[in-house]
Amino acid sequence: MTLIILQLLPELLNVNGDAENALVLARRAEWAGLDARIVTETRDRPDLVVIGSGFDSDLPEIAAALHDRAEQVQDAAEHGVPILAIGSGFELLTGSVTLLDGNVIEGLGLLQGETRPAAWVSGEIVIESRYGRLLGYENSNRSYALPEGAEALGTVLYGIGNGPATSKGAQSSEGIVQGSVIGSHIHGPVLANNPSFADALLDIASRGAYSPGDKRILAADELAARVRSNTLKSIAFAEPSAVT
Amino acid sequence: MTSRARTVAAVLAGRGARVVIRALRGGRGGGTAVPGGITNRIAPNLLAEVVNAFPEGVIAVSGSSGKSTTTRMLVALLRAHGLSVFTNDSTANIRQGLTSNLLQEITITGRPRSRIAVLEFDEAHGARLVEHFTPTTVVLTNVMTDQIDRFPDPLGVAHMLATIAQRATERVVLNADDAYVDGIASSLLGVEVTRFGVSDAVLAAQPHGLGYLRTSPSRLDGGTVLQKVSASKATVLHGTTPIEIDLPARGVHYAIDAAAAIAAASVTLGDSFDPALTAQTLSNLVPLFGRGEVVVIGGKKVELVLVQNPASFQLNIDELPGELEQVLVAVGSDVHDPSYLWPVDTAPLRKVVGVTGSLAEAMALQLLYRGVSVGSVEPDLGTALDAFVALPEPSAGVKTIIFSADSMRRTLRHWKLA
Repeated sequence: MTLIILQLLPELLNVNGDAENALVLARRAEWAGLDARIVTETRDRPDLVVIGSGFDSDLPEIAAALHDRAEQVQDAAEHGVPILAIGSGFELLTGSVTLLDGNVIEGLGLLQGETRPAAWVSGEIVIESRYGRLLGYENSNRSYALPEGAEALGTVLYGIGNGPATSKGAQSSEGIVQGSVIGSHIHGPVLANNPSFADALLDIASRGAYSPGDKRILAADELAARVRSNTLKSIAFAEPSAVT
Repeated sequence: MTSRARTVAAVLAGRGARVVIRALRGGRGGGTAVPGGITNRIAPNLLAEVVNAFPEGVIAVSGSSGKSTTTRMLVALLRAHGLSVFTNDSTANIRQGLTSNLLQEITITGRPRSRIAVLEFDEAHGARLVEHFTPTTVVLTNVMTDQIDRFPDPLGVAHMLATIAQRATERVVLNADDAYVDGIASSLLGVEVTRFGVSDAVLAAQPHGLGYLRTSPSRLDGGTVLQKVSASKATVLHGTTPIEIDLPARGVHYAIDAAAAIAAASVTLGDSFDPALTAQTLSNLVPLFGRGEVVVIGGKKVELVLVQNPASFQLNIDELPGELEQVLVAVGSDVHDPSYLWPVDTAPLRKVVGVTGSLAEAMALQLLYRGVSVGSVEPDLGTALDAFVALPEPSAGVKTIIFSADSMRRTLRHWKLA
């Protein structure tokens, strides 16, 4: 089988290298002996969709371009195709994005909730998720109000994520998982730094045909483990005490 | 205290601090900003007064990249034409640093000794500093993705550059191929706007473009145009006069810097601008450290390539000769978040013998996913440099180190070149 990986609008949505999550998926699939192809347009239903992040000043243009592709994204979501959307790509899948000047950009409404202006955060983020512990960088000046009952991608151990926790004592959440659509603020090559996350998406997309045993995958994962431990060291990350 | 006495006191105090600091550091350390800070405290207006007192005015150079090379080329051109020129160290572009630099230039009463100043500014510092003085000419290079944690949005960078350009009293020199820079022209009133750019052929030959965040839809007609470039040989058509240059380093980005310097020198010098002298001067420049410079370490030739942002990383990779056998990549702490290096197509490197610097593992991971074969991953730069030089001479190409700014500084220190 050939995995078709749709990389949406990389010319606008690759500011932090988030569109390269498609490269990570394709390489791991190839290393595992599967065929994989990254495309920016396709008539067929893709097996995976990657949407990266863009510059704020380009948001109206990005939104217009995404609305042109809405049908295809919607179709993929309805058929359980894993969709990974990062940063402003994630925000534009929600109902709307409110800018600092009060202007509102209509989103695709594929994900519940809305995005509003917030204090600018830039730095490392660590979360606990169903795909294991994920870490990376966030760089955002908006917050996402995770709707009641919606499932977050994870809980924040370090950093800000969707925004400060709304109720006292609660942990802040990061991102959202809604069906096969995953939205996250963790920008850049999140799948390279968190191979368990990449493998979970590849497992779904390949219907179990993907198996990460190749020595090239192991070599990449050994490097990723070193990147992760460096990041945790650089922020003096302290393990949270066991939750009772 | 009278204003003149205050100036003298400020200059003396600053110079005194510089002497003490140099003595404490064993004769080194001219680059400290402390003397400038002292001077600014005693005479807060000194910086503006001095900078505005250059008889032929001040040229400010800014943009995401290419500003150091453009500044250096422009200074060389003006000096070759007989002007005495003051210029700042590229790192001295904040207020204290610039004042420290100026302390070495001015007379005790605060008068500049040179006829003209060419000052290089980082976008953000430049936008803040131009409030304090009036540049006669502003030269803007480009807007590229750079330090996303400092400059999260290109429109913000374009605004900063526009702020600098709007302070110009006489002339603004713009890169016509960069849509953000070119667009600044519409916000300028009462100044002469001059443009430089590349030809269609030069743009078409670049596999990944020129690295600008937004490239203008059409090429410049007239003005100063880089017509062709091949390795280090470039032809710049200035009006109708072709200027043939043998650049200090290969690469289209250096050739564009040369076009910028030619355009700026020409509008500054007017009728006395000499194309033949210009070609000769630019061809005789030696490369800046790390900009395609070849050094000999332990008897072996090593070419040094500085990458300052993803666009310059890409341009430099595209310019490297094929079949390089020994490449070392060093990425250090100046890159806070290595995410933005991921769009760079590093595949043409094919193989690197080592990756080093504090971000060695993150860089190596990028290379692996791009299909580049990676040798050792050694975060300690000194260890990696020694091992790299110790390798026998390559059978193809020259040993090449690609480094970020922080790794370049550490390499300089490791080899005691600075």
